[in-house]
Amino acid sequence: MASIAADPDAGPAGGAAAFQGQLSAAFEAHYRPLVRLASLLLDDVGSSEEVVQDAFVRVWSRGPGLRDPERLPAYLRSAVLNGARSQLRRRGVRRRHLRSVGPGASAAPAEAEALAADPDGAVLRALRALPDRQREVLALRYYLDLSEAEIAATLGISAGSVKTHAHRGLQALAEALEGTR
Amino acid sequence: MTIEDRLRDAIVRHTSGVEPSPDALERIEDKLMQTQTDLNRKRWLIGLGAAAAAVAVVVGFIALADDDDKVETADTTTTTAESTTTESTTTTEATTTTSQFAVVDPAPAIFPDPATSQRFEDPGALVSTFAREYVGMTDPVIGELMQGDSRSGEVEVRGFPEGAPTTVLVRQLEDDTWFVIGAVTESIQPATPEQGATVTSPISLTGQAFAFEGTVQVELRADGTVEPLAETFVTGRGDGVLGDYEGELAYDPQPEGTYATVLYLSEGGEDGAPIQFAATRVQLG
Repeated sequence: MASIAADPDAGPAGGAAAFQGQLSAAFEAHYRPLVRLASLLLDDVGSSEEVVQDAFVRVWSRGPGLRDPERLPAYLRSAVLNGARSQLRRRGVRRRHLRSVGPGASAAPAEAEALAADPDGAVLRALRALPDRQREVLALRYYLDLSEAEIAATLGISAGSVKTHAHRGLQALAEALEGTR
Repeated sequence: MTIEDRLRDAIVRHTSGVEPSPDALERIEDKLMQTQTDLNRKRWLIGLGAAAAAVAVVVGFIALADDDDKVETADTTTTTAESTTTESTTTTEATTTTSQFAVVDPAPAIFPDPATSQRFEDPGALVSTFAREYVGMTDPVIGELMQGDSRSGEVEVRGFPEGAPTTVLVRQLEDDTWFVIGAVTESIQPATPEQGATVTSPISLTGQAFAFEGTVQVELRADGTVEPLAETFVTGRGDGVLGDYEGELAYDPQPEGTYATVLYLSEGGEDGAPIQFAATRVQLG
């Protein structure tokens, strides 16, 4: 295992051991659920892991303030959602580019075809097709079981907006899945 | 079965099959070490620059002391043509780094950071460096300076040759070199915070925008920091028509009076790089 240099912001009581201990504890507590959350939005585990690892690095390299155990989960969730959103935007642009290259160039990957045979595939595809906010609100509510206030804090929006996005997202899902199963 | 039940079931079945790789913690540690190395390198370079500046100032004073009867001194930069002090300068293309520079009011100056010695004699070079290094554009197309008055003007920047323009506002400040003081674009029209406003956390973000999927990334960048103090996104419209957006940008407490910039990014390049942007200068209260 690589050892990390002492945190320059950790203060006299800090040091490499404390820094590493904090990181390990946070990893144990949050890494797996965050990868699973990202996988709902991104559909492949490799990209999801990259996004979550980058979120840890981002939070850990920005000083001890963000590593306060009370605030850490919300910071990590926000960083993961931001990372997933950027990843999706890049994919969208890439898809449009491939489409412009010619027919067939944007054919669905094998992974997506396999997913189509999965009975849950239609639900997850419909979830991923929702606008950013709706998709994220539903993932935070139905996977992490966060309250409206927690979702609002994570996304930096009002609780009222959370309600609206959840309502619209569920409505859009119901329409998209109408006639299936 | 309700749509909520179907969604919850699908999520539970999908996520229970997702297992992280066993070396994930090690990969995070590697990335952190790399980040720390990059940061140390940057700090070292800044320290080296400061040391070089101090040496150059000392040499300048010695030269002056040895050569009192000469009114004109060795001045190799055109930015301070009337200066009677000696300056040591390093010039690459139109970018000038001076070892001694006039104090510049940081209130309007988004880029370069007035607290550093980075200075620009040419507004085109300034905007090119700003677009790449500060905004993060990959291959910006930089237009000509459209002069406003004798000390200010506008330069258009595009993310790609046929892209919609962002107008970067530039001005010569107290030391006669050029600074970016703002950026506006048709697709992102912030209403709050206003240019020059004093803000407190959380900053209320309102305005109108259209962007890919309606999403505009918003970052708060304080002077002298590498990473944004805070970031979020706001959602306008995605169909080419301006739509209202609102959001909040919360940041950790900072020294009162810190100058910062709210940067709005519309991303869409093949690599996810920004293609349009807007920038508003604020002061943290």
